[in-house]
Amino acid sequence: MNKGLVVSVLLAALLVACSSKPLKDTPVAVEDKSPEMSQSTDATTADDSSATAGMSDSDMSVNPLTDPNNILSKRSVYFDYDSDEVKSEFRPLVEAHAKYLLAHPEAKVMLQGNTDERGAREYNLSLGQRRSVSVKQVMNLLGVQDKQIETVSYGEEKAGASCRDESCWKEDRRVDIVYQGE
Amino acid sequence: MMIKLRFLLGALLLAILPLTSRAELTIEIVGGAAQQIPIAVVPFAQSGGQEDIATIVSADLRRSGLFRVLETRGVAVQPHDVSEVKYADWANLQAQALTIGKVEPLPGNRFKVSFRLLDVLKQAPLAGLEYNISAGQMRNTAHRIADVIYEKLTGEPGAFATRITYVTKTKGRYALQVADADGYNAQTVVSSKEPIISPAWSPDGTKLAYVSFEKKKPIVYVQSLVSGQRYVLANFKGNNSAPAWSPDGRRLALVLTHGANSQLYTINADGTGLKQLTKSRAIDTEPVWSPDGSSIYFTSDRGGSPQIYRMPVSGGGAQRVTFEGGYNVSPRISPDGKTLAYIQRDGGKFHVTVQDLSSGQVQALSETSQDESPSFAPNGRMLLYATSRGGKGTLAAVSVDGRVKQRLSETGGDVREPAWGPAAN
Amino acid sequence: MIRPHEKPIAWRAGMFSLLVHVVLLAVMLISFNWKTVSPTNIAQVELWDNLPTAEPAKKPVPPKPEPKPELVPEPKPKPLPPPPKPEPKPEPAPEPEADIQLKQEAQKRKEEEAKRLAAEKLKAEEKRKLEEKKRKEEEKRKVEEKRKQDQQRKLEELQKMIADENKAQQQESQAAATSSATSAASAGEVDKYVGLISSKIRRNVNKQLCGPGKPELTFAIALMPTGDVIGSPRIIKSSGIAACDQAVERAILQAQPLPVPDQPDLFAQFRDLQLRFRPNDEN
Repeated sequence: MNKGLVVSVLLAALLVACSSKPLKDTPVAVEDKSPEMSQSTDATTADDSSATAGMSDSDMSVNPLTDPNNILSKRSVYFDYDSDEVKSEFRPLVEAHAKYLLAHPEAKVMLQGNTDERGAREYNLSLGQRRSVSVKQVMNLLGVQDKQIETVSYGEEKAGASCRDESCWKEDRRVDIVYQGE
Repeated sequence: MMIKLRFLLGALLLAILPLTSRAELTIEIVGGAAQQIPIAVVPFAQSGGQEDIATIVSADLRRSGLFRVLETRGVAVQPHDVSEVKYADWANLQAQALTIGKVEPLPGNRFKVSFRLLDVLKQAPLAGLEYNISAGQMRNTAHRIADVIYEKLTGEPGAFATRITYVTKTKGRYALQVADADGYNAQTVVSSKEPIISPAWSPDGTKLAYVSFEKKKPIVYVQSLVSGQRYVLANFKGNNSAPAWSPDGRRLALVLTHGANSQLYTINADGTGLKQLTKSRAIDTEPVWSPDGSSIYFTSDRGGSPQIYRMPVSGGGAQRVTFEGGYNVSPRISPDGKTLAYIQRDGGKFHVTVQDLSSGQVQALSETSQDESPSFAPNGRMLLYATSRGGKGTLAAVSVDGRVKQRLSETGGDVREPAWGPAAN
Repeated sequence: MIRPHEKPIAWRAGMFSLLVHVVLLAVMLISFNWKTVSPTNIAQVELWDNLPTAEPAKKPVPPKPEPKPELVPEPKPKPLPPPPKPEPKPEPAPEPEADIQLKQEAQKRKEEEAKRLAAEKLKAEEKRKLEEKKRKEEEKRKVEEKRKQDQQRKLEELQKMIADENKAQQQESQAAATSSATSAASAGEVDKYVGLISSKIRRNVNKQLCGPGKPELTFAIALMPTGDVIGSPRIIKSSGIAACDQAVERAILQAQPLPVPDQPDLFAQFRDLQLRFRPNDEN
């Protein structure tokens, strides 16, 4: 137990350290993406609100969650073999969805973990679950509450049937973000 | 007194006589070459249009790998009664045992099936039974006859009159099916567009618990095979999976995640009384009960890699059971509680493996390399499991000592997730 | 527990028990003595040489009727015990002369009579005693004779037994000595058939029915010269697994007719066989 505690504290410290970087960067990113971000209604940050006013008229007809130009339409976070760590390249995606959820308290999301087909089904169900929990924890750190998130796993059940090597296995190792009502 | 002494003396003299005679010649015979018991199964006297009993019995015995079923057509007299048996005919065929029988019609579309098992070498009967059955029970009766023959000659109970369950995937559609152990009489229990996994037989063979993704997340259902009715056993937040019945059928162990990592729980068969079993930061999954109901074996990666552990059902510390290799999952316990079967990953290949729980000796059984979900036959002799062949999922079976291997052919789509039902009553 | 009134009996019982043990030991030793070949061989050779001379001794064996003069010393008439003195006549009191004369005559007559009777008695007694003596000595002689005859007979029996054994051994050793090649050949024949029998039965042993361990089991069978088993194989030591015992029994029966030698003296060694199985061992 002690070891576990130490490790989790270290991990938490790491995450804190990591998240501070993007926080520094976000103002830049937000400014860059502000035309898209402002599509969400009732933006709460000061940066956003300045942008919202200008863009609100043209965004009402397109659902940000399905707009191909919007990062929110990207729903999959990919993982390395035997790993549940959210890689840095996917952090912006996760944060975008986190922000959406914070902006829409009634929205609920289901994080579906997946694995490639190698190994036992139930164990893969648990591994997939680990991945979805990992994504959830990133969202938690951004302020999203558990009542808006359910983590589940499909294990290897959605893995490509004819997949036999890494070229397609890597596609199977992912978490899908699914909004309630979809 | 003197007379008595003389008697004694005489008796003693008689007693020592054998000591002075020559010893018998002793011949040592080490090892054995025979693999199978040669048996002849004579076609039963039965009218056409019925299931052919001798064919089903022959197939069962052959499939067990322990019998060589001899061709009987060449024999002039095909007996159906003991009185008609000419033992010399069968001794000439090198048969050690002979099965004969007949099917006689009874009123009300019923039948009397009678059979005899005979010892050809000793020229004596070994077993004989009669059954009063309906037409629809013909196949099952043939399997029961095969069970009797198997038990009489091998000393072990047969498992021919049992059922198995498995999941098929055909053109994107999933179906949970139940069939006879020889694959005949398959019936669909439930079908869905979403995956179905982890079917588990209740100990009395009347219900199946399984995991269905029809609500876009894994939920555990219990369905009656008698009525077809089902109910939700567990739909908690997060995953609900890996149901395992207790030996008395009153509770199930299962895996829940509650928004965090997979942990073990027990729950009453009616869905009440949830209790948490493990509280670790690791993945704990795939619980199975020991036959005496006191322990739970499960998969956990609390030690850094997935291995098999055992803990008391009442709660408490878990002990590690597997020590070879870096990936041991899917534990199953033999009905006598002495053998642990599981899947071991070895260099990228997944093999059905057995471990003697008292000696710790490990033996990989299968020659296939994508093995999953092993399941013991109720007589503990065979292991049914899923594997892949030519890119397609198929079922296979292997005997616990590794000597007999079977491949169950399957037409159509993928087959996976097999589970062997309990012994026939 | 020995009760007080049983004490004497207990002693006797104990003594008899000891006696029986001693007897048993003695019997065993005797039997051992008969088994040791070499010493008796040497002894037997000598006896064999003596036996022909012993033969004539056989002749007087049939019991002869009493050869009185030879064997029994002539009973010398022993000095007879002094005849009982006639009782001193009671001197009658002075009586009249006439009576006295008569009485004297009567007395004389009586005396003579008594003398005669006494003499007769003596004679009879002597006779009787002589006869008794004769009888007794006769008996003694008979007993003596019988004992000697028994001894003789036993000795002869023993000699016969030894002679027979010696003969047999001589035959054997002669056979061995004169043709050591043939005895080695017959031993080789035996081995050959042992091997044939073993491999024929082994072919039928289904060790899959014998479980995972290393069971051992033993059967006894009786064979006919045809190689067929008489009756059923008899299990001497079970493997502990019924299906294994039955499988091995079937293996034996299915191997009939077992290969056995034709020569009667070689087949004799195969008439009763012990078959010891270790199905799960490698060799």
